[in-house]
Amino acid sequence: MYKTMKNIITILAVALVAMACEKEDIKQNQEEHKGEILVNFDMKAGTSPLQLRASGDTVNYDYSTALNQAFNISNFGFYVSAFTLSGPNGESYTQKMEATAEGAQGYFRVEASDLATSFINLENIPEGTYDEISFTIGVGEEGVQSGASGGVLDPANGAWFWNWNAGYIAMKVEGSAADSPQQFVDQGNGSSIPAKRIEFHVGGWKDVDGSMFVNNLKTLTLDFGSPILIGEKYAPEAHVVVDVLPFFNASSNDFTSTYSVHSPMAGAPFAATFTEMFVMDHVHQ
Amino acid sequence: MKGVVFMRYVCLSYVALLLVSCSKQSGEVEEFRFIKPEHFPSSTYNFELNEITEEAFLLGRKLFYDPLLSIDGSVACANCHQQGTAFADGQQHPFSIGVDNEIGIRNAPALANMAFYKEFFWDGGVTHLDFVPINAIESDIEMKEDLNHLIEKLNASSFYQLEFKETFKIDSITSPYLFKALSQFMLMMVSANSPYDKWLNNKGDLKAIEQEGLALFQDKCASCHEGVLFTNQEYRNIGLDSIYPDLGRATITENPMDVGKFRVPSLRNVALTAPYMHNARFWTLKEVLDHYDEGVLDVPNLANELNQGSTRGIPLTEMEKEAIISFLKTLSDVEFIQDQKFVEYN
Repeated sequence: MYKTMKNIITILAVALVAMACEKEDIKQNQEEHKGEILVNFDMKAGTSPLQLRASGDTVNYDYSTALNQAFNISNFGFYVSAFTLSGPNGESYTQKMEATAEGAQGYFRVEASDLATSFINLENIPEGTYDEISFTIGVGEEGVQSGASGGVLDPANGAWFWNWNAGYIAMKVEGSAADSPQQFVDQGNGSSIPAKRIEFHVGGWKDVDGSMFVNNLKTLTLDFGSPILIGEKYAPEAHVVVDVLPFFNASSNDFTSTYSVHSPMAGAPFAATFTEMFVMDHVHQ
Repeated sequence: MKGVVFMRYVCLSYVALLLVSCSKQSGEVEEFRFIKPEHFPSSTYNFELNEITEEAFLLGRKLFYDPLLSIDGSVACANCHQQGTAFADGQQHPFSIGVDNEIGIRNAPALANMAFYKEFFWDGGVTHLDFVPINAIESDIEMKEDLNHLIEKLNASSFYQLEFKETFKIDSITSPYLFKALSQFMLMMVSANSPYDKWLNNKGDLKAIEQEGLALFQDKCASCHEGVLFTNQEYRNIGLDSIYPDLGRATITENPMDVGKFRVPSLRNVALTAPYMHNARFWTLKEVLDHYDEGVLDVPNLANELNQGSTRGIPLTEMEKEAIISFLKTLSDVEFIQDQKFVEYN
């Protein structure tokens, strides 16, 4: 019975596909050509490449805030997902997103400590002219509610996961600040919090009407400046500068009072700076 | 005419095929799958990302009972979630005992019908079942283990190497597969065969006092302990305390209006899961009802249901309490706590 049904279904399916093909032929000819774009996140502090210091370094303060507070960075990074491209003539591309146990397609964790993570190649883009790119900083509801996932979302493999308030940290900025009141804390098991530590973990993804939940996901749309070509003969490279300084300056952060941020609400003023941190610098056509 | 004969032939052969397939089915072992009880709401779990198989369920069971999940091999999930008490902690442990005999801060909740909830834990901080075990594994006062270290230990075990390979077709164990297996074990924990369910489905009777208790319960308790899951899946401050060492739901929502609110727990198997409340305040159901009757404190975030005009709490006579407790006992699902498929060695 099962086999018979299977045969019938197969025959029907083939027939349907054959019919559909006639219609699709014209469309497919237009979309046959696909291209790629390499998105390169340049991690910077102001106009200089970001300098990373060892965690707990209270000697070398490379930067200072608008409030003249000296600090350094030991760790900086973010999740980026949901890339889309759009063009003036209706071209559009949306990257496939799929978080499963096997992997996390369409989700990336960019870390200043690992240069390779700052290059993200988008593939299978319909050939055409594009003038805008958009992406989301953080991992949205779809990613979280897919449940335990692999790849960059695997919490046993470095994923930035909040277990107590399940979800992923969208951006981490860690280091030391001369004015941080953080005292040395021995946490046992050989782990400790260094003196003058600053730790900013920005997360929170829930949108519930009538609640105070803070959604710190930000979808940013950047203009390429002038339209670019993507296709078989064109594989452009877009340089997005990610400047860590607005994180503290645009939020007017004062390290004497705010040096350890670990909840959605406390992270909101920093998530609001993402739009200033990410700037389309230039595109190599 | 020819057409009719042909159709009859088709129909006959279809019936014959059905008969063949039916007789074949009756001889086969019943397919292992999640079955939603007819009187239950839709499940919330996305099964398409974790298709139930007997192999994965059994692997989840093995993991649930394995103290390897804790840092020193002393604490398994099953330490604090015991089948005999509907997967709540043993009654001698109002707060759970972790590694190094550390004592927890909340009463371990019963596990049942996990496929039907949208949030987990007393504060609802976890929104997907797969992530539930992480809190217990990483907590310093529970299993105190690092996830990456746990995955290393699993990969170092030839038993688990083989089990995960056969179950999930993977060469190297990663955490999502660990959590998917544990979820499968918990998803199958469906408690829907209590005397109350049998009465509801016209397969059994409730005594007069139990029915009386049910009527009282529906009148006085069911606005929060709603539906067949016996919870509206919301959070309430029931006036247990006026100072809060544990902020409860406000930890997650960051809303001062949620201070002291905790999950409205399901009451399924409630007679088996003493002590009661997040902080294990009460030892008996009578004490719980006494609290609602006369112990509710006048606190700022008190549940509206317990703050009706001049009345605070839920006034109950002693006879009413007795009837309600009789009804609550009909929610004890003996088939569930004795179900051999959840037993460690089987």
